[in-house]
Amino acid sequence: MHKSDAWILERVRDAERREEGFVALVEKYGERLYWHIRRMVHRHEDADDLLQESFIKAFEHIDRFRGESSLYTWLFRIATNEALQWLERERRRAAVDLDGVVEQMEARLEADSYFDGEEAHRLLHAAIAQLPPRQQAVFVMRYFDGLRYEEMAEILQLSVGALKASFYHAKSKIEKFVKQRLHL
Amino acid sequence: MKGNKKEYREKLDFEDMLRGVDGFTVPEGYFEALPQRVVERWKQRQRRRAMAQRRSMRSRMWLLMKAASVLLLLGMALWWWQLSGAHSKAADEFDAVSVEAVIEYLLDEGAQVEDFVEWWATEEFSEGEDLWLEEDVELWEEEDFKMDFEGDLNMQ
Repeated sequence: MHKSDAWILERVRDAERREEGFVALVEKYGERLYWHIRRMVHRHEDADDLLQESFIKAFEHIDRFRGESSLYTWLFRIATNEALQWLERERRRAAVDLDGVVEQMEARLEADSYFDGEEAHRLLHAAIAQLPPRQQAVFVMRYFDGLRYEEMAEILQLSVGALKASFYHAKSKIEKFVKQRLHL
Repeated sequence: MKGNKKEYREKLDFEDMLRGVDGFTVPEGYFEALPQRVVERWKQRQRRRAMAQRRSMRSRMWLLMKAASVLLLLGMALWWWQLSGAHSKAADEFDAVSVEAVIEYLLDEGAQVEDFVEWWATEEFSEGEDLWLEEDVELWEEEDFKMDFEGDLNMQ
Protein backbone atom coordinates (compact mmCIF):
# COMPACT_ATOMS: atom_id res chain seq x y z
CA MET A 1 0.00 0.00 0.00
CA HIS A 2 1.50 3.31 -1.10
CA LYS A 3 1.58 6.32 1.19
CA SER A 4 -0.45 9.42 0.38
CA ASP A 5 1.24 12.48 -1.17
CA ALA A 6 0.53 14.48 2.00
CA TRP A 7 2.27 11.81 4.13
CA ILE A 8 5.27 11.82 1.79
CA LEU A 9 5.51 15.63 1.62
CA GLU A 10 5.29 15.99 5.38
CA ARG A 11 8.30 13.70 5.75
CA VAL A 12 10.48 15.04 2.95
CA ARG A 13 10.11 18.54 4.37
CA ASP A 14 11.29 17.39 7.77
CA ALA A 15 15.10 17.01 7.87
CA GLU A 16 14.87 14.24 10.47
CA ARG A 17 12.47 12.05 8.47
CA ARG A 18 13.46 13.10 4.95
CA GLU A 19 14.96 9.76 3.95
CA GLU A 20 11.80 7.89 4.92
CA GLY A 21 9.80 10.28 2.73
CA PHE A 22 12.15 9.86 -0.23
CA VAL A 23 11.95 6.08 -0.04
CA ALA A 24 8.14 6.29 -0.03
CA LEU A 25 8.21 8.70 -2.97
CA VAL A 26 10.30 6.33 -5.10
CA GLU A 27 8.20 3.35 -4.05
CA LYS A 28 5.05 5.13 -5.14
CA TYR A 29 6.11 6.69 -8.43
CA GLY A 30 9.32 4.88 -9.42
CA GLU A 31 7.76 2.26 -11.64
CA ARG A 32 5.43 4.59 -13.57
CA LEU A 33 8.20 7.09 -14.18
CA TYR A 34 10.60 4.35 -15.18
CA TRP A 35 8.32 3.11 -17.97
CA HIS A 36 7.73 6.63 -19.18
CA ILE A 37 11.47 7.30 -19.44
CA ARG A 38 12.25 3.86 -20.83
CA ARG A 39 9.81 4.30 -23.73
CA MET A 40 11.56 7.51 -24.64
CA VAL A 41 15.18 6.41 -24.33
CA HIS A 42 14.67 2.65 -24.84
CA ARG A 43 17.76 1.16 -23.19
CA HIS A 44 17.33 -0.01 -19.59
CA GLU A 45 20.69 1.37 -18.43
CA ASP A 46 19.90 4.85 -19.78
CA ALA A 47 16.38 4.79 -18.35
CA ASP A 48 17.69 3.67 -14.95
CA ASP A 49 20.27 6.46 -14.89
CA LEU A 50 17.78 9.12 -15.95
CA LEU A 51 15.20 7.91 -13.47
CA GLN A 52 17.64 8.16 -10.57
CA GLU A 53 18.76 11.61 -11.73
CA SER A 54 15.11 12.71 -11.95
CA PHE A 55 14.43 11.61 -8.38
CA ILE A 56 17.61 13.24 -7.08
CA LYS A 57 16.59 16.47 -8.81
CA ALA A 58 13.17 16.17 -7.20
CA PHE A 59 14.75 15.56 -3.76
CA GLU A 60 16.96 18.59 -4.12
CA HIS A 61 14.17 20.89 -5.27
CA ILE A 62 11.31 19.56 -3.19
CA ASP A 63 11.17 22.92 -1.36
CA ARG A 64 10.14 24.52 -4.65
CA PHE A 65 7.13 22.24 -4.98
CA ARG A 66 4.21 24.51 -4.12
CA GLY A 67 1.42 21.99 -4.58
CA GLU A 68 -0.07 23.89 -7.53
CA SER A 69 -0.04 20.63 -9.49
CA SER A 70 -0.10 17.08 -8.16
CA LEU A 71 3.14 15.52 -6.99
CA TYR A 72 2.87 13.00 -9.83
CA THR A 73 2.57 15.73 -12.47
CA TRP A 74 5.54 17.56 -10.98
CA LEU A 75 7.68 14.42 -10.99
CA PHE A 76 6.51 13.54 -14.48
CA ARG A 77 7.59 16.96 -15.69
CA ILE A 78 11.07 16.54 -14.20
CA ALA A 79 11.42 13.05 -15.71
CA THR A 80 10.18 14.19 -19.13
CA ASN A 81 12.61 17.11 -19.16
CA GLU A 82 15.48 14.82 -18.21
CA ALA A 83 14.56 12.40 -20.99
CA LEU A 84 14.13 15.18 -23.57
CA GLN A 85 17.48 16.71 -22.70
CA TRP A 86 19.09 13.29 -22.98
CA LEU A 87 17.50 12.69 -26.40
CA GLU A 88 18.65 16.06 -27.68
CA ARG A 89 22.16 15.47 -26.33
CA GLU A 90 22.30 12.04 -27.94
CA ARG A 91 21.16 13.40 -31.29
CA ARG A 92 23.79 16.10 -31.23
CA ARG A 93 26.48 13.65 -30.13
CA ALA A 94 25.63 11.02 -32.72
CA ALA A 95 25.10 13.63 -35.46
CA VAL A 96 23.40 11.14 -37.79
CA ASP A 97 20.51 11.60 -40.22
CA LEU A 98 17.07 10.06 -39.71
CA ASP A 99 18.05 6.78 -41.35
CA GLY A 100 21.00 6.64 -39.02
CA VAL A 101 18.74 7.20 -35.99
CA VAL A 102 16.47 4.35 -37.05
CA GLU A 103 19.38 1.99 -37.74
CA GLN A 104 20.95 2.84 -34.40
CA MET A 105 17.68 2.21 -32.62
CA GLU A 106 17.12 -1.14 -34.29
CA ALA A 107 20.67 -2.25 -33.52
CA ARG A 108 20.28 -1.07 -29.95
CA LEU A 109 17.05 -2.99 -29.43
CA GLU A 110 18.56 -6.05 -31.10
CA ALA A 111 21.43 -5.99 -28.61
CA ASP A 112 19.29 -5.09 -25.60
CA SER A 113 18.96 -8.03 -23.26
CA TYR A 114 15.98 -6.30 -21.61
CA PHE A 115 13.92 -6.17 -24.79
CA ASP A 116 11.95 -9.20 -25.83
CA GLY A 117 9.41 -7.55 -28.11
CA GLU A 118 8.41 -8.83 -31.48
CA GLU A 119 9.45 -7.39 -34.81
CA ALA A 120 6.38 -5.17 -34.75
CA HIS A 121 7.46 -3.64 -31.44
CA ARG A 122 10.97 -3.08 -32.76
CA LEU A 123 9.58 -1.37 -35.82
CA LEU A 124 7.32 0.82 -33.71
CA HIS A 125 10.20 1.92 -31.45
CA ALA A 126 12.37 2.63 -34.49
CA ALA A 127 9.50 4.72 -35.90
CA ILE A 128 9.22 6.63 -32.63
CA ALA A 129 12.98 7.25 -32.57
CA GLN A 130 12.86 9.11 -35.87
CA LEU A 131 10.46 11.72 -34.42
CA PRO A 132 11.72 15.01 -32.97
CA PRO A 133 12.20 14.63 -29.17
CA ARG A 134 9.10 16.66 -28.21
CA GLN A 135 6.87 14.67 -30.54
CA GLN A 136 8.33 11.50 -29.09
CA ALA A 137 7.37 12.65 -25.61
CA VAL A 138 3.83 13.50 -26.71
CA PHE A 139 3.39 10.18 -28.50
CA VAL A 140 4.75 8.11 -25.61
CA MET A 141 2.64 9.92 -23.04
CA ARG A 142 -0.53 9.52 -25.04
CA TYR A 143 0.01 6.13 -26.60
CA PHE A 144 1.85 4.13 -23.92
CA ASP A 145 1.27 6.03 -20.68
CA GLY A 146 -2.37 6.66 -21.60
CA LEU A 147 -2.35 10.19 -20.20
CA ARG A 148 -5.21 12.56 -20.90
CA TYR A 149 -4.45 15.65 -22.98
CA GLU A 150 -5.19 17.87 -19.97
CA GLU A 151 -2.58 16.03 -17.88
CA MET A 152 -0.09 16.22 -20.72
CA ALA A 153 -0.75 19.94 -21.10
CA GLU A 154 0.09 20.44 -17.43
CA ILE A 155 3.26 18.35 -17.65
CA LEU A 156 4.60 19.76 -20.90
CA GLN A 157 3.10 23.21 -20.33
CA LEU A 158 1.58 23.29 -23.80
CA SER A 159 -2.01 23.86 -24.90
CA VAL A 160 -4.34 20.90 -25.48
CA GLY A 161 -4.73 21.96 -29.12
CA ALA A 162 -0.98 21.97 -29.69
CA LEU A 163 -0.69 18.53 -28.10
CA LYS A 164 -3.48 17.08 -30.26
CA ALA A 165 -1.79 18.43 -33.38
CA SER A 166 1.56 17.11 -32.23
CA PHE A 167 0.12 13.65 -31.55
CA TYR A 168 -1.61 13.62 -34.95
CA HIS A 169 1.66 14.48 -36.73
CA ALA A 170 3.59 11.88 -34.75
CA LYS A 171 1.02 9.18 -35.52
CA SER A 172 1.00 10.03 -39.24
CA LYS A 173 4.80 9.89 -39.42
CA ILE A 174 4.86 6.54 -37.63
CA GLU A 175 2.20 5.06 -39.90
CA LYS A 176 4.06 6.28 -42.97
CA PHE A 177 7.31 4.86 -41.66
CA VAL A 178 5.80 1.44 -40.85
CA LYS A 179 4.07 1.23 -44.22
CA GLN A 180 7.31 2.06 -46.02
CA ARG A 181 9.24 -0.53 -44.07
CA LEU A 182 6.67 -3.25 -44.65
CA HIS A 183 6.26 -2.22 -48.29
CA LEU A 184 2.53 -1.85 -47.82
CA MET B 1 10.48 -12.04 -37.87
CA LYS B 2 7.98 -13.45 -35.46
CA GLY B 3 4.73 -11.95 -36.82
CA ASN B 4 3.69 -11.83 -40.46
CA LYS B 5 2.88 -8.79 -42.53
CA LYS B 6 -0.79 -9.59 -42.94
CA GLU B 7 -1.34 -10.05 -39.23
CA TYR B 8 0.59 -6.88 -38.56
CA ARG B 9 -1.37 -4.95 -41.17
CA GLU B 10 -4.60 -5.93 -39.49
CA LYS B 11 -3.30 -4.61 -36.20
CA LEU B 12 -1.96 -1.40 -37.63
CA ASP B 13 -4.48 0.83 -35.89
CA PHE B 14 -2.16 2.50 -33.42
CA GLU B 15 -4.93 3.40 -31.03
CA ASP B 16 -5.53 -0.28 -30.29
CA MET B 17 -2.49 -2.23 -31.29
CA LEU B 18 0.39 -2.64 -28.85
CA ARG B 19 -1.14 -0.27 -26.34
CA GLY B 20 0.68 -0.76 -23.09
CA VAL B 21 2.82 -3.50 -24.67
CA ASP B 22 6.24 -2.29 -25.63
CA GLY B 23 8.44 -5.38 -25.42
CA PHE B 24 10.65 -3.88 -22.70
CA THR B 25 11.59 -5.83 -19.60
CA VAL B 26 13.63 -5.02 -16.48
CA PRO B 27 16.15 -7.05 -14.45
CA GLU B 28 14.72 -9.29 -11.73
CA GLY B 29 13.93 -7.34 -8.54
CA TYR B 30 14.71 -4.00 -10.14
CA PHE B 31 11.74 -2.06 -8.77
CA GLU B 32 12.07 -3.53 -5.28
CA ALA B 33 15.68 -2.36 -5.01
CA LEU B 34 15.06 1.00 -6.70
CA PRO B 35 14.18 3.15 -3.63
CA GLN B 36 17.32 2.16 -1.74
CA ARG B 37 19.50 2.67 -4.81
CA VAL B 38 18.10 6.14 -5.46
CA VAL B 39 18.49 7.21 -1.83
CA GLU B 40 22.03 5.80 -1.72
CA ARG B 41 22.97 7.72 -4.87
CA TRP B 42 21.46 10.90 -3.43
CA LYS B 43 23.47 10.50 -0.20
CA GLN B 44 26.62 9.81 -2.15
CA ARG B 45 25.99 12.98 -4.20
CA GLN B 46 25.57 15.00 -0.99
CA ARG B 47 28.76 13.57 0.49
CA ARG B 48 30.66 14.41 -2.68
CA ARG B 49 29.24 17.92 -2.70
CA ALA B 50 30.17 18.45 0.95
CA MET B 51 33.71 17.25 0.23
CA ALA B 52 33.99 19.58 -2.76
CA GLN B 53 32.78 22.48 -0.59
CA ARG B 54 35.35 21.65 2.09
CA ARG B 55 38.05 21.45 -0.56
CA SER B 56 37.07 24.79 -2.04
CA MET B 57 36.97 26.31 1.46
CA ARG B 58 40.48 24.96 2.12
CA SER B 59 41.81 26.34 -1.14
CA ARG B 60 40.19 29.69 -0.38
CA MET B 61 41.92 29.72 3.04
CA TRP B 62 45.20 28.83 1.36
CA LEU B 63 44.76 31.71 -1.07
CA LEU B 64 43.96 34.09 1.79
CA MET B 65 47.06 33.01 3.67
CA LYS B 66 49.14 33.45 0.54
CA ALA B 67 47.70 36.94 0.02
CA ALA B 68 48.37 37.81 3.69
CA SER B 69 51.98 36.65 3.50
CA VAL B 70 52.52 38.63 0.28
CA LEU B 71 51.08 41.71 2.01
CA LEU B 72 53.32 41.09 5.01
CA LEU B 73 56.35 40.81 2.76
CA LEU B 74 55.35 44.00 0.96
CA GLY B 75 54.91 45.75 4.31
CA MET B 76 58.31 44.62 5.46
CA ALA B 77 59.89 45.73 2.18
CA LEU B 78 58.26 49.13 2.55
CA TRP B 79 59.47 49.42 6.10
CA TRP B 80 62.98 48.50 5.04
CA TRP B 81 62.82 51.00 2.21
CA GLN B 82 61.84 53.73 4.64
CA LEU B 83 64.67 52.85 7.00
CA SER B 84 67.26 52.69 4.26
CA GLY B 85 68.51 55.28 1.75
CA ALA B 86 65.29 56.52 0.31
CA HIS B 87 63.97 57.56 3.68
CA SER B 88 67.12 59.32 4.80
CA LYS B 89 67.20 61.21 1.52
CA ALA B 90 63.70 62.47 2.20
CA ALA B 91 64.70 63.41 5.74
CA ASP B 92 67.73 65.30 4.43
CA GLU B 93 65.50 67.32 2.16
CA PHE B 94 63.31 68.16 5.11
CA ASP B 95 66.33 69.22 7.20
CA ALA B 96 67.64 71.32 4.32
CA VAL B 97 64.42 73.29 4.19
CA SER B 98 64.54 73.89 7.91
CA VAL B 99 68.15 75.05 7.88
CA GLU B 100 67.48 77.35 4.97
CA ALA B 101 64.57 78.92 6.82
CA VAL B 102 66.63 79.39 9.94
CA ILE B 103 69.52 80.97 8.05
CA GLU B 104 67.17 83.31 6.26
CA TYR B 105 65.66 84.33 9.57
CA LEU B 106 69.05 84.91 11.16
CA LEU B 107 70.16 87.05 8.22
CA ASP B 108 67.02 89.12 8.56
CA GLU B 109 67.77 89.53 12.22
CA GLY B 110 71.14 91.09 11.38
CA ALA B 111 73.53 88.16 11.40
CA GLN B 112 76.52 88.52 9.07
CA VAL B 113 77.55 86.03 6.43
CA GLU B 114 80.95 85.84 8.15
CA ASP B 115 79.24 84.48 11.25
CA PHE B 116 77.89 81.61 9.25
CA VAL B 117 81.26 80.90 7.67
CA GLU B 118 82.64 80.75 11.18
CA TRP B 119 79.87 78.42 12.33
CA TRP B 120 80.24 76.12 9.39
CA ALA B 121 83.90 75.76 10.25
CA THR B 122 83.05 74.53 13.74
CA GLU B 123 82.71 70.88 14.48
CA GLU B 124 79.36 71.41 16.15
CA PHE B 125 77.68 72.75 12.99
CA SER B 126 79.19 70.22 10.67
CA GLU B 127 77.57 67.51 12.84
CA GLY B 128 74.37 69.50 12.74
CA GLU B 129 73.97 69.42 16.50
CA ASP B 130 73.69 73.09 17.29
CA LEU B 131 72.73 75.76 14.84
CA TRP B 132 71.60 78.22 17.44
CA LEU B 133 73.29 81.16 18.95
CA GLU B 134 72.56 81.74 22.59
CA GLU B 135 70.57 84.89 21.94
CA ASP B 136 68.55 83.10 19.34
CA VAL B 137 67.69 80.38 21.81
CA GLU B 138 66.41 83.01 24.17
CA LEU B 139 64.49 84.59 21.36
CA TRP B 140 63.03 81.20 20.37
CA GLU B 141 61.80 80.65 23.88
CA GLU B 142 59.59 83.70 23.62
CA GLU B 143 56.20 82.40 22.74
CA ASP B 144 55.19 85.17 20.26
CA PHE B 145 58.29 84.75 18.21
CA LYS B 146 57.84 81.01 18.07
CA MET B 147 54.35 81.46 16.70
CA ASP B 148 55.48 83.98 14.05
CA PHE B 149 58.33 81.78 12.98
CA GLU B 150 56.15 78.67 12.64
CA GLY B 151 53.68 80.75 10.71
CA ASP B 152 56.45 81.78 8.31
CA LEU B 153 57.50 78.21 7.87
CA ASN B 154 53.95 77.17 7.12
CA MET B 155 53.69 79.90 4.54
CA GLN B 156 56.68 78.43 2.79
